[in-house]
Amino acid sequence: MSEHTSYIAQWITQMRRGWLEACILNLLARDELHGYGIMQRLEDIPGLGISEGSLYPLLSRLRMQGLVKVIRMEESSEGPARKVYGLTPQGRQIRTLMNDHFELMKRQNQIARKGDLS
Amino acid sequence: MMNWTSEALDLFEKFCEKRRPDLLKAGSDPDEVVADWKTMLEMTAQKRQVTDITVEFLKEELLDIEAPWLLLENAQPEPPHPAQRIVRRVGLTLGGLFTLFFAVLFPIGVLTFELLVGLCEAFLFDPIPTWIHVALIALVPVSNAWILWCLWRRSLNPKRRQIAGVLTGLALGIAAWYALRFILITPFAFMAVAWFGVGLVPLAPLFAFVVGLRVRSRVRWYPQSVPMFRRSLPADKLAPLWKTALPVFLLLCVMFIPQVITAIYMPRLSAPNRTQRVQAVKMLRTFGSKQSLLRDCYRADKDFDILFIFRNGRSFNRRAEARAAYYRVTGTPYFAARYAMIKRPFGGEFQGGEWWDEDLGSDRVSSRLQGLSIIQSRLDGRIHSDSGIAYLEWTMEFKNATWRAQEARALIELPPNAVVSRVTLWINDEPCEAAFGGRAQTKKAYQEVAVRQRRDPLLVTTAGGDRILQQCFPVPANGSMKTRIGITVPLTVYSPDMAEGILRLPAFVEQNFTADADTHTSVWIESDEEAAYTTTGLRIVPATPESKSGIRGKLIPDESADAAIIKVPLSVPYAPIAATDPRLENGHAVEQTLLPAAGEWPTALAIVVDASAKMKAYRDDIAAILKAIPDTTEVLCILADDVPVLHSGKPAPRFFRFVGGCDNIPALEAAAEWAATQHYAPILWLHATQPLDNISAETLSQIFDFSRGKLKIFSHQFGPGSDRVSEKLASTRMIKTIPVFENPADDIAAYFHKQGGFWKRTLRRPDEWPNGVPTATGSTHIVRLWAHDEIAHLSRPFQTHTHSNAIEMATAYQLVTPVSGAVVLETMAQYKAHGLEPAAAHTAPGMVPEPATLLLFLGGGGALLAAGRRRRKRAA
Repeated sequence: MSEHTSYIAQWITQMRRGWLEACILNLLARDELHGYGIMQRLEDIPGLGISEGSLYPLLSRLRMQGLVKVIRMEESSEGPARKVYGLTPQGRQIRTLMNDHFELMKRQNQIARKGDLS
Repeated sequence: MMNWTSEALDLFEKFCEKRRPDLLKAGSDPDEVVADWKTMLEMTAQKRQVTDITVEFLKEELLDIEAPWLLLENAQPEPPHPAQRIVRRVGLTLGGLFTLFFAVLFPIGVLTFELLVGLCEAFLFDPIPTWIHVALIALVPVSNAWILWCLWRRSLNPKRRQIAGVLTGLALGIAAWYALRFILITPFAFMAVAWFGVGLVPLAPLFAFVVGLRVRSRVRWYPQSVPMFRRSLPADKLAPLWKTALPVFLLLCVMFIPQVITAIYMPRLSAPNRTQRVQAVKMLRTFGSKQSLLRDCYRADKDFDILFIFRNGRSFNRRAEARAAYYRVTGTPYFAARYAMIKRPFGGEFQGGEWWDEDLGSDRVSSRLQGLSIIQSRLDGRIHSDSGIAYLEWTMEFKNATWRAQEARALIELPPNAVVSRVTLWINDEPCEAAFGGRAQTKKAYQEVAVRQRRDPLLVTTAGGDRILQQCFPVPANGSMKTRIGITVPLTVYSPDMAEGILRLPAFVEQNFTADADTHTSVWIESDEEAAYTTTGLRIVPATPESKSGIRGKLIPDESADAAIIKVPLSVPYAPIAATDPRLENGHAVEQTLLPAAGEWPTALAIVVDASAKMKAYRDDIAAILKAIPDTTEVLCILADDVPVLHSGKPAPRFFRFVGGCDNIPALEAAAEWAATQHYAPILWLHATQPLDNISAETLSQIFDFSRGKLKIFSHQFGPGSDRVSEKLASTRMIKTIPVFENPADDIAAYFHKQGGFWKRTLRRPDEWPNGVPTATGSTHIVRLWAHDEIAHLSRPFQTHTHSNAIEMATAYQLVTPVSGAVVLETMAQYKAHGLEPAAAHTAPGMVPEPATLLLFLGGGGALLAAGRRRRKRAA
């Protein structure tokens, strides 16, 4: 039982890694958000809670890849100034491709499970 | 900026470092991520209203950053020791605790202990003579505490770090200074700690210095110890020690210089070379420490600090040297000054007054004793204006509020030419009269009974001109002692028509007990003539059944109070008045005659003016006295400074310079040498108190001896205090006190130039009365005054063969004179053991009206009664 649990945990982690990036790009397509805001929005989505330890490296990587950018620094009464992220044009394209690919994946899974697409 | 504890920062750094390769591999910017994490952590802390980011907080938050592998690694250390667990709980290491103890807790403890108990002050030296010293010492633990707090909280920002740098420097300077002061005792303290486990107190400054270096080091390397802030905190250099520690060290050195000078020059005051002595006095007055001298007056044997190095050896008589030096430097006897040390609530010894009476049984009054006070004082008197005499009785009660017996001593100034004719001590509430005997005999009896057997004696002896010393011991612990002295006073007749007699009441000039503010000498004097004048504090009341007027009032029984003056019109007839001598068979009478005293200013006069600081207040009086001297008198004025300064003629006021305390003997010697070259040149000596004990008057005595008694010193003392010079030369009778009442200039002028109205009292008791024995109508005190004169005559210098007769006479007439004293002992056995016999109560004078006065009043009353009857008869 424990072996299965460990296996499925690793599998979910691998799946989430790519999927999280798509979700973050989708969120930023709707609103400009700071890291904490992104984290809160993700928490509102069942099963997509993410810790700061994962979010910030992810955001950093997306920024390094040119998909997101820091639009401005937002002063906060709760603490230090925070970076507000938004999508770059390249990020918008990638997001569209990602969403399309996800739709494709859903269909692929359906075919795999039921044998046809109807 | 949020505060991070050092441990939290370490943990965070470690975490980030471990994550860095993964972040790089994942394509993230590690620096950016770390900065984001830090921002996020601080934001979370603020949201949770956490002021400091601690390890606990970080661990909780790092769990969210998905680092369980790191937390697990740190969460499984070896089980700590329980003590270490406590230390870790407060975030301190054992080294930190050590620093905290020796940098903060121990210095505070030692300072508090010294402030409460004064142990170091009692046995080594006073490390906190002033509150400035207390503040400086307190700066060490307080600044260390603040710095350690900042270090612990990681809140030492650049500004605070610079302040901490200055504070550590100051603390190091102060600690170094005190470590130096204790340097001689330090090896012994280490040995004591090693062997006996005690003696840490003298090591406190040394420990504070060593730990202070560690604290400074931590402040210095603070930026490097916080990697997260390496970029934000510039590693400014701290204020260098030569700008912080050195100035405070030098300041303490400068504050210490007066003590060093005192240590060096005080022994030189007794150098054989006069120039050295004078130089030493000047140095001590200019640069010396009066407080240091005063401390030596009491505790010369209790000091062990670096001053020891500056002293030229260890004098066995340093306390006496210090006492003399204190007077020479300040002009005030050491016991009249208050040692202004910080009072320790639990300190012993002389806190608030001299505790141990070193002068017990001696003829020095010295310091005021703690807990000894006069609680009752009354002065009764009767003025016999027909005889120009007064009799006063001064009753005093002393209370000792301490747990040990103490001796009450008082130097009392008598009215001019007065003599003590009664001494009483209350033993078991019964008044016991004194035994009169030779001075040495009574003193010896007192010494043996009082000081050795600690019984109940009272001793009264003379102490120079018109002064007596009263001493009684023991005033029992938490008990009291009551004494009375009777004084026969010849009124000073000082008016052109002999119309007025002056009575100056006795007063303390030195005392070793205090008088509370509500303690007064209650004065009750009856006069058979209506008093004409009294000084402040007294009032004249109308006739009473026993007298024509009374003088009432309250005086302050303290040496600071001036003696009160009463003036009474006299009914002294120009014709002689006689009194019967009760000690002889019928027919022996003493006859008193008042004659105008003739006198002129001498053709030559030496004036010796004491240059002590206390004379400064009397500059105008001195000028007035000089002005009163006629130009026909050749004047040699000598200022009794450290080196006598001679001035031929009357000097200008600027000639007088008053500073410190001066030994007047050299100036008196110079005056005597000059006087010896003149036909007749008396010396007028104007001076303040002369408390020096270690003076030598031998040269003066020598000059007096070779002048065959021609040398005369007329003395007037300004202000209270003892006059050891007059006491020392009392046996020679060369010093005579000028009767001064209110105005020294007028009274001294009148004393020399007697045309002003002085009357001389002549007393005689011839063996034969060619015209028959005169009728005794005068006061019996005439007989005592005659005896007083006779004793003075018998005991004059160069007549040593009659001295025993003088003692016999003083004993028979019960008088305290320079050759005799009065002592009250407790038992007859004690009297017998010392060859003394107490006076019978009926032979002592008293306050009841004398027969002659009584007859006078009875006669007057009878006449009034008869006149009344006649009036009533006539009316009928």
